[in-house]
Amino acid sequence: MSENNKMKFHRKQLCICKPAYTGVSRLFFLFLFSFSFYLPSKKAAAQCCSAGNPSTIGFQQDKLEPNQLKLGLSYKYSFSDQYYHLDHAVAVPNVNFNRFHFTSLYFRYGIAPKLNVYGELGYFIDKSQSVSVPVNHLISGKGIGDLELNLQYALYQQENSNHQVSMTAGLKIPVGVFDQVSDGIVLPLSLQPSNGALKYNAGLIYFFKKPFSKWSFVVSGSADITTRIISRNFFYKYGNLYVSSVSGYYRNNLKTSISLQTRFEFRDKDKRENHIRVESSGGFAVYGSIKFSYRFYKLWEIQLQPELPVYKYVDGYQITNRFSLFTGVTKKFNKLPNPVKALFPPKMG
Amino acid sequence: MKQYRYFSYLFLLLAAVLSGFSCSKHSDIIPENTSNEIKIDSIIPSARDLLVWQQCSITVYARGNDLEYNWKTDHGSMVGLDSVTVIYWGCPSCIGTNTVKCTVSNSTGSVSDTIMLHVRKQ
Repeated sequence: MSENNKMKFHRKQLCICKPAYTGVSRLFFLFLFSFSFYLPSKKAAAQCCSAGNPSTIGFQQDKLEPNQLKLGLSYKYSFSDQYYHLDHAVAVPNVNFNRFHFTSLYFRYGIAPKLNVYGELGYFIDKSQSVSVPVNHLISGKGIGDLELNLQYALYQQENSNHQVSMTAGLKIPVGVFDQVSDGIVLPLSLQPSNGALKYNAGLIYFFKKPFSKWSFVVSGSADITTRIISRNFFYKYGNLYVSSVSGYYRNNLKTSISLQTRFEFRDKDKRENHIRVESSGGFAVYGSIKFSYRFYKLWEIQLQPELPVYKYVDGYQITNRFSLFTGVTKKFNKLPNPVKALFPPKMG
Repeated sequence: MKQYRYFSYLFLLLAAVLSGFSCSKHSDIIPENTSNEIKIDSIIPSARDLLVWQQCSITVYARGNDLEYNWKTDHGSMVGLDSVTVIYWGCPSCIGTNTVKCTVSNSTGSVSDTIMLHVRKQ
């Protein structure tokens, strides 16, 4: 091999190796960077153990063209067995663990080039707490959770789609089971399938992708504003929830993609009757997750996303999440009739 | 301009749903079909002043035929021990004065009584 050919060969090798090496390191550094950026903040949340739908983060990021519809079915398992006081685990009596098996139906529809509507209806197959009182015993609830409806509007969109800023707004409606009774006892608030209160939410999403790059990045922030639970058994208001996330997506080919996400949750303190703040409520948590997506039959996609808490800081004493696992399947439908046009046909002539 | 029109339709729809929820009346008082054939003599807790996680048993003494018992608390957890006794405890987020209500019912109706328990820091 001549010297010139050797150089060409080395360059080729470099060209082949560079994207893979850069890809892994970018994901790694993105993860580290976003984690280290938020670590100094000190506050924590136990998002695992409140009433109502959990956040099913897997389906939230995609945007559809007008008249496209995406339907999805998801499943989430969450397990929580660690009580925390501030940022360290403590042993407590009576409670062994909390867990839930949650499934939801998801839809997203492109109404206009810049406007999507999406929503989710959740169902708890099982939401239970294992207690050791008087012997090991499972307190369980199940049933429909909340109905979530949101609008996503593209505030800024470059023609070649390099940068995109969208805003979301919506509400979580407590359509499901609340005040559920098991064995003659009304379930504790944290085991009720529905949230029992109307929640408003608003958020911003920033999407960035270099042209012809396999990489894309999403930075998002949202706020869930809760109202007081309206029930004959409970007088309670959950604290507002603020969530931000940083995600890096790497699409290996048309079929497979992988992403790393860091999610930050900050929850305000809850309030009980007479506006008394609940001391053991509210806090801050950082979660890390990796998501695998696989497309098949062109319009189908399956996702798997395990999530682990990286850092937790709770006010008082609270049970915190150990891990959760999300999986879902979606099917995209192209060019459906626009229901708004069908309802309000454009005037002829 | 079309997308703005769609956006306004959806906004109006959202506002209508929202106002429907906020304007609907939610009464916390549910009328009870009170029975004259059931009598609750007393509800006895083993302690009224509890530390966080401390367990106490609560027993209801009632008279009537084919009685069914239903328990609820606004803060705390309960597990049934037998048909007339439950075990109550409060977790750290239950600190304060909490109510435990027992409803005893049969085919003639129901009767309720409430006790207060105080949960305090360890």
